[in-house]
Amino acid sequence: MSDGILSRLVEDGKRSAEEARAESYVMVNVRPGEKVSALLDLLSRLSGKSPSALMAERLSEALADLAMSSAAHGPAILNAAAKGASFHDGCAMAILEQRGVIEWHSTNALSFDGFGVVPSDATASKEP
Amino acid sequence: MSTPHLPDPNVRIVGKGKHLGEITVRLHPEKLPAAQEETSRRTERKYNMRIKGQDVALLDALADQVDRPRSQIINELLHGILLSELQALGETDAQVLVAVTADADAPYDPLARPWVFDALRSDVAALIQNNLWHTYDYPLDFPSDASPELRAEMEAGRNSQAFNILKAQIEGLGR
Repeated sequence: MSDGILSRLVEDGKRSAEEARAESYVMVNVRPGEKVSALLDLLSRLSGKSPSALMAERLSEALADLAMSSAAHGPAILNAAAKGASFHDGCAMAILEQRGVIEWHSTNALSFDGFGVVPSDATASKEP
Repeated sequence: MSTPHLPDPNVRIVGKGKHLGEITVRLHPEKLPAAQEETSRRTERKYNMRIKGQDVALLDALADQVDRPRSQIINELLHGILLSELQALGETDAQVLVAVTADADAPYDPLARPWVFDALRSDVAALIQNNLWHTYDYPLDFPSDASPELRAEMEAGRNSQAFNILKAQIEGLGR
């Protein structure tokens, strides 16, 4: 994209929207080591995005991949659900649901929407 | 005015003997290779990564299960994402170009490098050359009546399109 006035306006708008979306994010301080840093910085420079913005959208899928990489992670997935892990589109639990790894049930199918709801006595299916 | 006596920096008193008197050791620096400028080790980079709030519960549950800090799990996720990005390029020369460019900025600890890379050091270097600069530098047999456009096209054909695009972008970074 050229460095014109309108282009900058669009870029600023994108940045503002990104910051607004960031409200639902938490910041985690990491030191990934030189190997990861070197490639992360290179991709950041090539793409013109910050390392955090570059990785944020990919982390959910990577987390879902990690969670389903071993049956040993089953208890962790259930623990996360019990602690209120939500099912917003694109987050790791939603990806696990899409892939059929987990399935939600509720005794009250009409009020249950799967978003941040902690199931207690799951008996009825989410789908009517 | 006499010049004050300065101690010779290459001489060090190492002890005193009853019969030998003061014992010194002299260093002959001319016998040593010239000191190379110390390459400044890059300070370990620190990032503030944004994680979706909805993912934190699963992240922490997995970290608890494997008894590792949350940040270490994120580091592993970052490595996996970057590796898949590299592999997704498909073309080997483009992958090597990106890897070599990134590696140039990573002061790897030789003590942490697997022995097999030390054993195969020259072979690994040759492998990189073959995948990257060999194709790039290999002399082309241009037809005598080749137009500049054809020559440019043949030059570009040494490597994959992905390589050529990335090479131009990397050069544009002003490295």
